[in-house]
Amino acid sequence: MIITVASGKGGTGKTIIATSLALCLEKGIFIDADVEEPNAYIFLRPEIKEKKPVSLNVPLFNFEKCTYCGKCADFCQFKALAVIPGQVIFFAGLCHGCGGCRLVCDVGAIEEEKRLIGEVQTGQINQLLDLDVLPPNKAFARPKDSFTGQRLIFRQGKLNPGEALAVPVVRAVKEDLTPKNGYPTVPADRQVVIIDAPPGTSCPVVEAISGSDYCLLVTEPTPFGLSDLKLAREIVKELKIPAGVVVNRVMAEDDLAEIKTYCQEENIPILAVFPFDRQIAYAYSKGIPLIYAYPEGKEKMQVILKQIKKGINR
Amino acid sequence: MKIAVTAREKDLNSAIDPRFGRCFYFILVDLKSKETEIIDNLGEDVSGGAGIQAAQKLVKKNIEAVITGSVGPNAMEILQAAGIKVYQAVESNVGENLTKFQAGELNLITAPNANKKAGLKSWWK
Repeated sequence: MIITVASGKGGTGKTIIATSLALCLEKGIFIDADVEEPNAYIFLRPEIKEKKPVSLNVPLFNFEKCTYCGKCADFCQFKALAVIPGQVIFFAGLCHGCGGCRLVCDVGAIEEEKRLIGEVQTGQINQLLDLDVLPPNKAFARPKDSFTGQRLIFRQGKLNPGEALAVPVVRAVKEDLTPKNGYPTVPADRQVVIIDAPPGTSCPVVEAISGSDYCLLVTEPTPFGLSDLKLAREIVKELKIPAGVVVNRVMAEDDLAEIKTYCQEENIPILAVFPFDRQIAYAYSKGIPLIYAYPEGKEKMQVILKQIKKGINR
Repeated sequence: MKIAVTAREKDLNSAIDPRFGRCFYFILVDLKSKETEIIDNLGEDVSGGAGIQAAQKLVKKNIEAVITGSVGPNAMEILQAAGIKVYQAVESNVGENLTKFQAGELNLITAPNANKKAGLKSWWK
């Protein structure tokens, strides 16, 4: 079961929800697909064991064969190539690595080389939280033994700063995850995968959500949260993936009215509501997962997971 | 000699389009035969690489010089590699710039004078 946590709007609490969901799994995989700014590691404190480079296949020209016919530049949808008499100019930053130029070249003058754009890091979370980081405050629900014994596989994609193309890194971080291929590097008992998607509604988000069994949309009770929730909902609809909503930072029941109306119209359930709570905010500011700061958190996460299972089977 | 001018409309009385890559039209003029040709550049419809695409069009037309307002770094790289000289427009009208060019009164631009994506700014519209 692959659950992607998305939001449309940034800063609604995707990561704080996604990480705590993952921490409530018996055994699972957590993937940070927000490759431009992966920061779930701050909550989860994984031990990174493996780093794999992500690169694009970009054209490499053999000028002994090139006739400067210009077919490659004509074909390139991203204007990454210009051909002038006796010279080919390649703008690496614009190349999407589709390989089309190589295919249209009549004389086989184009080969491929790799251009590094990012990295996929894999690790484990063995010990969830060093108890010492928790402030001496009784209100914090200190992790019990049942939490610290579990092992969570952690993966994150990192796009090199300044690179324009996040999608290949999102794809790489999700590699082998498609249900029909199974997940060969992971034992069969790790059946739940939580993916933390980037904010927004563009290609990297679509790539992160694609192939999921369920999409959890995190929003907040502001006009901005609702506006962007609607956009995110459009993507999920298009991808035909069942969705549910989590509303974060709710001060009063009244705040929910508009979101409730929208969710009813769209026929998507609200799976949980989290309060606008100083304790949670404090924990966030220290990189402490929500479930430790908010006593009802674990229970709510279990409810979310149950509802998601129902939502998928429906 | 064949030269190009970036233009807002399709004739010599048209206003100069100050953007190179995202100009509406290129007016090509053969200074010897006085023949003109219009290229629809549709530069506003391109998301990225507008300058590259525009420069490539001029290369294909064997243009030797272009009169425009601002050229970004990618377009300039191609224009220079192809030996197309870039001249700074001074008048608002295409025809007047051509007259000044022929009188040798326009300055050559040898380095990009606009940033990437500068032609996308809404104040052009």
